[in-house]
Amino acid sequence: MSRFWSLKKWIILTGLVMGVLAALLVEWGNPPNMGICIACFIRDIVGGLGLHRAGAVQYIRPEILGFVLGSFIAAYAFGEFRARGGSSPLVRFLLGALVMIGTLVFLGCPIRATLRLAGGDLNGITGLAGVAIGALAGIYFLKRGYNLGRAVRIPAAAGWIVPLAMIGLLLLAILQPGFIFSSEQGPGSQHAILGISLGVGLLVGFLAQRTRMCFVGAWRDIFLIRDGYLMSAVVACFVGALIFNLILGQFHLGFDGQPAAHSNHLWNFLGMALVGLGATLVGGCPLRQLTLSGEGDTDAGITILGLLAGAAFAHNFGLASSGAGPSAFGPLTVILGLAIAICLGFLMRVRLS
Amino acid sequence: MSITVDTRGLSCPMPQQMTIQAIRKAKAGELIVVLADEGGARDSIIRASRALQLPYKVEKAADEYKIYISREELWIEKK
Repeated sequence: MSRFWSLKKWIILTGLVMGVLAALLVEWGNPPNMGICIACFIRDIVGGLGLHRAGAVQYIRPEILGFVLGSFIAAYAFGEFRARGGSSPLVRFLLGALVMIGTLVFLGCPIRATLRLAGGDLNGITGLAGVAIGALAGIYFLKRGYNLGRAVRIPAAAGWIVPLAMIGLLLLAILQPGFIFSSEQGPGSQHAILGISLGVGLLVGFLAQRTRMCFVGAWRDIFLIRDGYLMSAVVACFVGALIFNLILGQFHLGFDGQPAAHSNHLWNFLGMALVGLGATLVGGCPLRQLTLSGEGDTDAGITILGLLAGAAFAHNFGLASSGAGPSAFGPLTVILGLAIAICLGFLMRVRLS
Repeated sequence: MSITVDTRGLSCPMPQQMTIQAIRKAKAGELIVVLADEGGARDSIIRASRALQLPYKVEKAADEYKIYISREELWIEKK
């Protein structure tokens, strides 16, 4: 069975399905070029919970819940659910927060960088170049012995915490109690209906768990072992989204005036370099962290908490960029983030017993 | 002669990286036995063996995987 899923056609299919559904989600109500964006959607959830008060980006995005729960279902269905944890959790938390800040300076995770390019936003090229260079820097540290140490098996209950938290968020999204925020305008107010968003999340999460899809590992494998398996999902996602964007009239070529984007090339590049480096060091892109946490990996769960904290800080401290460009302190934080990630790259060399 | 690489408990990308380093260090004809306890790690090790064009065999024992990679006599890594 494992051989079956590791065939290249499955990951190509997964990438295609994700790209097509991302384009369709925009048609169904999600913000332009933001059919799927792990960073943006986690940021929206943080806003929905009131942990930041940027009024335009608050909404419990059901896609995120679906990614985790879809992976959870796949992991149980194929006997791969293993509760585990204890591999440098605080370092992972910190790297997760830095990755989130990088994405919010660029305005999108590696998946959205791909989708932005598929919508004609040429700033996606700068972003993807940043991810590639960041991954290359991460490989340098891997070769020098960077290592976060071993996780241990823990009782299954611990592995259920993140999936159960997602069910809790789903209840909040359905019941809409008064303490949950939902944007009245801006990107947070643009969304497909809950059932569709959740369904897409479940399907993509299931497939992503089976195929190990990762938008940062893709670059790592290209550079490190010249293997295109993971990259074929990125290419397929791009092609699927491009075709459907053209069909749906959502393709607008250019650098300027793109939705939820800015054209400051330097900070687009460096923001995503931080994402590429941070995600290589933490072992996967934000989507991969969601699917891993669905398999019972509590270290990935800690990374997700880091992403949440990073999003809260990014908006509370005004680090996130806007359509007008980077904020006053965003670039400074990216430099600080790169410095921290580089230090961790040099210093985290856990001796293995 | 065989070399054992224990990647149990390690998460991506460490298992793949350790496997590659072991392959490069191995002498001609040596067998590399990689222990992994997670499907994602197993797949990344298989991808590395395939990319380096070395024959491998996967064995599932209880909750773990053993991946046997043979560093063949005539193997030269393509740059």
